[in-house]
Amino acid sequence: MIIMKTAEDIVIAALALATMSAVPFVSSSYIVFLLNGIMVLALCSLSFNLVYADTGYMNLGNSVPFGVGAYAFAFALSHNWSATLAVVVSILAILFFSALSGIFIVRLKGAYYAIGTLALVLFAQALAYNLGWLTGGYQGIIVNVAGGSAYSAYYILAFLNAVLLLLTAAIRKSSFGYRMRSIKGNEIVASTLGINAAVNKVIVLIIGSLFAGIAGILSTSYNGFVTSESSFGISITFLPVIMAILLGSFSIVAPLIGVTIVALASEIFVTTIPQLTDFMLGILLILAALYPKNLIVLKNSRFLKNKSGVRSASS
Amino acid sequence: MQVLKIENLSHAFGPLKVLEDVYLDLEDNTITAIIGPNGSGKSTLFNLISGTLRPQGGNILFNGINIAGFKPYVIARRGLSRTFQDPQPLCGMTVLENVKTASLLNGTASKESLLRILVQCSLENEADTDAAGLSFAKLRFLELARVMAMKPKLLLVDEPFSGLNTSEIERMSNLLLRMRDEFGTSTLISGHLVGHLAKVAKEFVALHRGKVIAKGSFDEVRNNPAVIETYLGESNVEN
Repeated sequence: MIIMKTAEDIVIAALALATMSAVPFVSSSYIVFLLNGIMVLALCSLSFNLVYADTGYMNLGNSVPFGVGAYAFAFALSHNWSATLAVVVSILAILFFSALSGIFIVRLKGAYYAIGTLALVLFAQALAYNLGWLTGGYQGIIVNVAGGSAYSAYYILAFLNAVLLLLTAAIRKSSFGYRMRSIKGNEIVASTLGINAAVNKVIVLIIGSLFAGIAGILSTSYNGFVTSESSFGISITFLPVIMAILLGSFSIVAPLIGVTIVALASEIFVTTIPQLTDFMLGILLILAALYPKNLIVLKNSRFLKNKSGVRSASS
Repeated sequence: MQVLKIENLSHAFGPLKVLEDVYLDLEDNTITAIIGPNGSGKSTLFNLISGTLRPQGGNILFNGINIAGFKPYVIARRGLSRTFQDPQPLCGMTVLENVKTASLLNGTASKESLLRILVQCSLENEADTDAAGLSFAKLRFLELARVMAMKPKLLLVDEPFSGLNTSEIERMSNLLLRMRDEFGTSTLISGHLVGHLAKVAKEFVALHRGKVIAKGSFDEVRNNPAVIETYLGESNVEN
């Protein structure tokens, strides 16, 4: 086990698991919805971090697979396909489009990669608005949601977040992880060591996109609708990125803490000073960008110290 | 048998001809030195052979196969490794992780074998240090440690002695000789310290303004009038 080494860690993990499992039984459906939203962002944030922390490539287009998953699932359900078929088709669509965009952007480096992936979001958004027969245009697609689907989404989301966290840790220790980190360390040297950077970049992008896409499917499954704004808007495109880089990539759980901080702050702003929510989030992001090392005191606490020997990717 | 045969290799950066019609043969299991003043085309030649630069003309036969225009990772997988004139660590990875990444080329290497390489390169105390934080001389040895983990058939070492003191140069030389004997590695080594190069290299090739102006043993090249005029005029020969 990579993130859980000591008995203490296992106790913490077990407590977290028990708490998460108990929440739907003891809280209101509002809390479950709120947590679902947070876990959707967490999944997007972890999947962004999977690519970014190891290869150093900033994929700002993570909302594209999210949207593909959300739209494909909604399209299938609105055409009365079975839920299983809808999920299978959505996943195939996610894999197809992430491979396609991966091949398209693989030659881009550094800031151009970030810009290229962001351009894909604008492209997807334009398609969503214009391909009305497929996406419902500006209105999006509304689907009937079975009772209790927020609860099943809750457990699936919690499970997938745990899976992605463990997968990230496992990848770091694997030879695939070494190859990806060498790409971040020095792509030219990596190639002279026999590493095909392009293939590794596409593979990790597809893995990351798959999780973001499944988050999209789940988001449709409990929200009951998908629109261009709900898929490609600022919330899915940018918040997970901010959450991932808020604390730096010193540990694979860093994005999760970032997610909690940003999501709770956003919820507090919405309920207390709704007019200023975006403004306050903006302030938070500026602070995070200016003082990434100082903003969060937690960073040096023992729990977050890197015990796996994996070095900080943010330095 | 020839491990490397270069025919008619040319390269230009815009109007500037960096290499012109270069011919070169490298025998199996030998160390060949390539000398020339800065700007004579040594590093460009290395970049072309290793694929980090795409040749504009000519053939590069590696074990009989023309690898001109192949991608660097394809060439590396065929058994060609290189070091860089300016040491290039994989940043954000430890010294051990740098060497481990290089060793992935041959499947999985045991941690012991990787540590043994670090000991040979005097890097054992820095195994868990971020490679980017090493001193210059240590970085030179990290470059070598990485290629040692790859066990290459052909090795290009670009000015490995620059910035090293005499005992470090000797250590580096011994490691190159050892790779020749243990893995059968043929090496093309560039540099300016011809006295030190002569201790490891059997053959010498002199490059000037992108052209090969002399080939042969150290004495032959050293006594070649064109070579004397070009580089050794203000001799920095040490012996």
